[in-house]
Amino acid sequence: MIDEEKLIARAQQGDVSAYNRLVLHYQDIVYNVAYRIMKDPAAADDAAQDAFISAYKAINSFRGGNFKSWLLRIVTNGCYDELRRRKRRPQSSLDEITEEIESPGFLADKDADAPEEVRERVELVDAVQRCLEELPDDQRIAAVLCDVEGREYQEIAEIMSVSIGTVKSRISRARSKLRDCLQGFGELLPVQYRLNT
Amino acid sequence: MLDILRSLTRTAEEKRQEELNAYLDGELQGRAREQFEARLAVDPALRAELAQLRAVKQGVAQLPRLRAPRNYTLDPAAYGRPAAARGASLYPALRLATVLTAFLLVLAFGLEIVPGTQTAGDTAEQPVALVETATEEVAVEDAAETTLMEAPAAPAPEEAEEPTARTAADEEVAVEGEADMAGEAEITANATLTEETTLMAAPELEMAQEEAAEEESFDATEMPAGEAGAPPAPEATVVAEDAVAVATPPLAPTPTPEPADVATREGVGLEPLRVVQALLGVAFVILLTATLLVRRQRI
Repeated sequence: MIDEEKLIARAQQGDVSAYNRLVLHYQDIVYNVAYRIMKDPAAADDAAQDAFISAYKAINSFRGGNFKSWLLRIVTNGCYDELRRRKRRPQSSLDEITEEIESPGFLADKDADAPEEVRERVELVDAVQRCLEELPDDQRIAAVLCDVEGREYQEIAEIMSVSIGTVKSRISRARSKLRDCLQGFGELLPVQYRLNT
Repeated sequence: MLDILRSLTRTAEEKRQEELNAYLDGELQGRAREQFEARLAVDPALRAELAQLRAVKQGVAQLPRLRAPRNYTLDPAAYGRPAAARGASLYPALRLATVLTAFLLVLAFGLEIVPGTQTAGDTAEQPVALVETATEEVAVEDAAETTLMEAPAAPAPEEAEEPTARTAADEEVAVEGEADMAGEAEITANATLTEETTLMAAPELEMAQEEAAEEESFDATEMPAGEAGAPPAPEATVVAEDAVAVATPPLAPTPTPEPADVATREGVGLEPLRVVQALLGVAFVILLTATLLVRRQRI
């Protein structure tokens, strides 16, 4: 367990190696959130890198509290900005298109030889991933922070810079849409996830 | 604020769904939680719905945890000491100042609506007010003229009663003095004349009286119907007419307010308010811009 407060204090004094220890501790969660928001490994990689650079430059504005939430807010805001930029100037990655055509993740029979239980689980993950990607950005981020990262409503509100009421609303709408989307997969999902039964 | 608006606009179904999800996430506390559990105990449909949402939540939670493809550590040689966060500490103060300025700005514009405050709309009514004022001035001038026209008659009997007490010059001074009670322009000159007359030494006064008598006799020769005691009358009338003439131009068919007059009237209540509104408007724009800039830099 790292002594977070000491490392932050040293980083605020300009100790980059202390900051790097914080980076190593949080880089997976930051990358995960970026990936769920951006839906693209390369974009998530860029977003995570930018977030850590921005966080170091602004570390003196951190006044205590939850450092992880502070980092997640930075990466979330960075992803929002990037998504807004993309909407203004739509562009498609050639690699992404090729990958989608040649090996659509959901249809690929990656675990043909695996036991039934494992295969069902993989199908569920693919279905959830696909449904999650169809959600509006704000609802997807709220759902990821709540269900993937296990953050509380108050923390999500701070990360997304919105009120708790807005967080409640976004999570509720996200789950309703996910439920409706997953119902479309029917028999492909394990029994407990066949929501229309 | 937005939460209040949101709670007013969302439907009963939306509220029910939010409550269901909040319960699922362990965010429903106290009495609300107890009430929900009581409903859950007696409502199978609600339990089924909760089970569906729980399955969704678990499905999302099963998404694989990805590892970062590389380390995001910074190169100590490339990054020095992080900048001091002055802007971030300014943000709350800037935000408060912006809100206060916005409030004052609304208040400043709201003052225009309050009855009794002179505004741009009121200036349109000024000509009417000026007409009324001008009418009053006319009445005063008329009264002055009336007094003036009666003035010659008054000295005559006095003169008859005191034939040796006053010279013609004295009469002229007296008549003019009375006439100019209404004519403001003449007051100073006449007062000076009266003073001069009063302050003169006795011999000088006599000389002046003699000179005045000579002038009077000279004037009398030029007068068509020469009445020695009457000369002041026409002169006083001329003076009175002049006074009326001075007062008349602004009263012409549609009295036009003098620019200086309007400026003075507007300056009483309108100008300070306009200045305050302009200053507050400028301050609001500056503060809002600064707040947005600091907010953008703030993380």
